[in-house]
Amino acid sequence: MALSSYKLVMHNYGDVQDGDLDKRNRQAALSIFYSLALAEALLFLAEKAYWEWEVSVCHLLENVTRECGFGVTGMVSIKRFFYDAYSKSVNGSIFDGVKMDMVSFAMDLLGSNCSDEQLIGARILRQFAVNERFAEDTLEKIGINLPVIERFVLYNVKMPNFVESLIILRLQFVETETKLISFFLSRLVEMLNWKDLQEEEIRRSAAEILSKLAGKKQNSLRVAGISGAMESISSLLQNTRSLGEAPDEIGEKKLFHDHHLHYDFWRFNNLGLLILKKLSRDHDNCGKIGNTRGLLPKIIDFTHTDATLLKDENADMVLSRVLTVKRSLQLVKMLVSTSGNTGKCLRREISEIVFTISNLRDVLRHGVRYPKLQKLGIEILSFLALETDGRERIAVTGGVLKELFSIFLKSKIHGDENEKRVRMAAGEAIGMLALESRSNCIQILKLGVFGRLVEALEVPLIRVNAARVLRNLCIYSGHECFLDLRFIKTAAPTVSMSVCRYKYCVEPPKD
Amino acid sequence: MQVLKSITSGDNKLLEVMLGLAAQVFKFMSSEEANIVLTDSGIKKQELANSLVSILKKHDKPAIKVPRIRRFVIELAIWMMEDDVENVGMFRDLGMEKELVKVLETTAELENFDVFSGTVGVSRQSRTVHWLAELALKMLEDEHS
Repeated sequence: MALSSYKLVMHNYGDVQDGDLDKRNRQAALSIFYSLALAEALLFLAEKAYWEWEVSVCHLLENVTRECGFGVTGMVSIKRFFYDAYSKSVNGSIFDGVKMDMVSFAMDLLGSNCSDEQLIGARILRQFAVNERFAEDTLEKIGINLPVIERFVLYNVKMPNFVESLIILRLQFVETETKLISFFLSRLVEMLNWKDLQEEEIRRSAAEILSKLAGKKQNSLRVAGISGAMESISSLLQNTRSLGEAPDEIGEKKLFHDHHLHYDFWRFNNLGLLILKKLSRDHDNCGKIGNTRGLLPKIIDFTHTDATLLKDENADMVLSRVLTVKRSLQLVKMLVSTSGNTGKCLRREISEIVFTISNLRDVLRHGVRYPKLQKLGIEILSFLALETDGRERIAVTGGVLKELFSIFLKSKIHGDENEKRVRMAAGEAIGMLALESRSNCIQILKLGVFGRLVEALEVPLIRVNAARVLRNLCIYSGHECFLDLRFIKTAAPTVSMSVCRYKYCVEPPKD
Repeated sequence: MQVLKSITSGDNKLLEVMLGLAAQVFKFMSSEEANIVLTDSGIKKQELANSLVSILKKHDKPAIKVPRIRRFVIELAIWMMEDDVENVGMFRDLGMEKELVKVLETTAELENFDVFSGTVGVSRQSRTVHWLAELALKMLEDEHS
């Protein structure tokens, strides 16, 4: 720059010889040349000064960082982006620099081999993906670039709500990209197997995300379609029983003390049950759950309760344990209510587990404070009673019929909605148990509740079920119970009245 | 009020189970006992029979909510006819035959089960509705000749 200014000022470009036609225009040419050089240099300087001004005085980088919603760490990535863009436009064409954008920059970084660069890339993408303003564009850009996404998921799954929001966004925008979604899901399922203490957080986030995603029917089918998915989910549920030492005993339950192991087993149990519960909304998945080795006994073990647990009041530990019981009962209910052959197999397998029915009985016996649990337990019993074997197993488990009747014929009633539902469910279960089973009917008659059942025909809430039970008792008890059943005659007026009342529906009374 | 309430499906269920119970209860009673109970409750046999026929009239096809209602009606009618030969003539006068023929034309597998798992019936009853309806029809016709 100095040279060109000097030359321009001096205006002396050497002697011009007369007649030297070639050099005649040298002065003008050189003037133009030097002024151009000067102008370029000035422009360059001005640009430099402008950027210096923008960066240091106007805090350009800070502003960008703030606008993108990056944190303190974001500054590094922004700086890096700007320097990269700058050097690109200096070295190559200016258009190379202008065309650059943060997202592809981050994707490039993520694709590099240096782990620091990968981390920076992952961070940038994360910030954009969770930012409402940029999320859509960002995700569109990421597209189905699987290697990028793979690393992306790996780096970000630890961040609360991150992958979840990302995936949900993806699902909303591009429903058709099944390949991508399946990829996400299989990656998450794989993470469920990471049992290292250091990876507890990743595992938990993956489980949480899966539990939310599995709520959508399409996704639940996809998850179940991933090979080994059920085993991975099953690994979330802690294996509570050791192998028995002799063939005539069953392994003890291992007790885990959370503070001892620093590992939040109950949380994982709950998440595992929640995922399974959501998957079980589809009947095919129920079959898969049943076929997964060792899963059903684990689930049944979670339905175990005792008096202290259900009568204890409001401690956090208790709440989380009760939640586990509730979820496992809900899951079992879904499984046993499956129709068709699958359902038959599931009902058989579940009632063959030696703890099922006694666990359910304990829920009925101690669960006065938890009518919802009681109702679930009773409904499970009704479904198990669909199979002849199950029906008899329930009746010979001590106290089940007695508990059911004491709920059904309860005389002290508070009249709240939940209680009513429990009582109706109990009536249905008894009706099922009395169906086509002579031994069960005899058991019921032995309880000495026949008179009260006949009286129950007058109680609007339970009369339908009472009538069902009585009919089954009349049909299936057999001749030797004739004496017990004589009392049924007292029901005759009630039943004939209710039949006769019907005709008024079709022909109103004439008077 | 009572009439309105009876039409709701909830009461249809009650009617179904009560009919089912009635069909069994009367089997435990002798003819005289049944007569005494009915007279004590102020119910005439005519009324009872009339109810049964009108229930069949209303349920001219199997209902998924009350699948067994026609079976129970026919069971009860068969008991009444077995109980007292006079009842046969009464049913005939009320047009029971026509209703039974209609039942025979519309019976469904649905009506042969006590319990369902999904749409699959559990434990089929040995006496199908078709069989019961034919039996009742035969009883009506036999007395004719």
